[in-house]
Amino acid sequence: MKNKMRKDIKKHMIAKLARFYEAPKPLEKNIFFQNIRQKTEQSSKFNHINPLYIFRVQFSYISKWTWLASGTFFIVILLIECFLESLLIGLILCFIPFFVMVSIMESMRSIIYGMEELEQSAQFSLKSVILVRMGIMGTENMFLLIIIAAIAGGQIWKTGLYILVPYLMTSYGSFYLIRRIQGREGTYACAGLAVFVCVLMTSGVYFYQWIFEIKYIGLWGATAVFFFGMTIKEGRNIIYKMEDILWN
Amino acid sequence: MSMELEEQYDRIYRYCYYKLRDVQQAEDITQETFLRYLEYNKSKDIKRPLAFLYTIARNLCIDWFRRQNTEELPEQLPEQLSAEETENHMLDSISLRKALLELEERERELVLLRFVNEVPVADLSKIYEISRFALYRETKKILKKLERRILDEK
Repeated sequence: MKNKMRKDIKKHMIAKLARFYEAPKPLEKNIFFQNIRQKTEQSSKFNHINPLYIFRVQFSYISKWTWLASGTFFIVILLIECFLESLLIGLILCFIPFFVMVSIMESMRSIIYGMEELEQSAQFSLKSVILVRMGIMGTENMFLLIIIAAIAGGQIWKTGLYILVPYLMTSYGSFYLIRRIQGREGTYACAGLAVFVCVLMTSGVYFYQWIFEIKYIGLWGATAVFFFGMTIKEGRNIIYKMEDILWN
Repeated sequence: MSMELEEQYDRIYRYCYYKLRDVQQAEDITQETFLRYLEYNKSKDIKRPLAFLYTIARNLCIDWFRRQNTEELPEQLPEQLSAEETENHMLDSISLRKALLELEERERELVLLRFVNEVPVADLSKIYEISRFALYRETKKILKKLERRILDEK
């Protein structure tokens, strides 16, 4: 009996508690949520953009000169493959750094020409613009390099590895230079780097032929992995730098 | 969104009003709480949205008190509605009010959150940063205190 009474009191008490904490009616609730809804509708137009749309837009902004330069290097390499088979790998490796340089220059156009602030205030963030451009140019490069490696004959993975080393070396160096050197000077520095890698590869082909022997393939692999890691690291540093710009 | 924000508005507002006893301030802080919540929710996935909302509200109230250089308002409960109640109910209300006033500030806040705003134990334990068991024991203890006080009155 006592327990039942206690339970009743407890129930009754909990039901009554709300009365002691009652507050006057909020006055601006409806206006507040109306504003929130309006803002959400406006921003959702931008937030729910199909990723393919970003790719399409950025694809259309890639300069025709970039496509032309990439296409020219590709055709030159194909001609070498057709007519100068004896000099094949050496000449291919000489052209790869310039091939990379064109793509990186295009991906980093906003940073090189000091357009970061403008891109930040645009529909897409600078980070997504750069990443999408890098994605487009990287995919195009990989596609062309696979074709080059396939046509070059021999073992495709071996040729691919030889091509990958100067490719990653130039990518890493270019990222590093663009991050360190502002403006157009960065472009000149990247061009200088491309020439340096080209000379390095040429001297490798003509004076140190032995490095292309199969027993050194592990060294090529290790170099490719090293520069791949460094390229990722530098790419990440560039993204961090963009975050700095955003916060400042 | 997993939680109905509009439904929570009244509860957060009630909580802020209980802390500040000022309609305009309570409403401003409630809105600020929701704006901060929505801003954060854009970039990160919030695991316990309710606990997050109450934590923001509580911190904003504390900030407000700091800015005002005052301490949180003690020993008060909003004076409302008892005029319409019957004599019997009035007596009940009076004894319950007395019992509530005898509780500590933290206990009264816990009563509001757990029994009036019906915040789940899991969220409350997150807000107070204590285990569910500790929270369960604490609420049970508070209810017992209230019950004992009312029984004594009767």
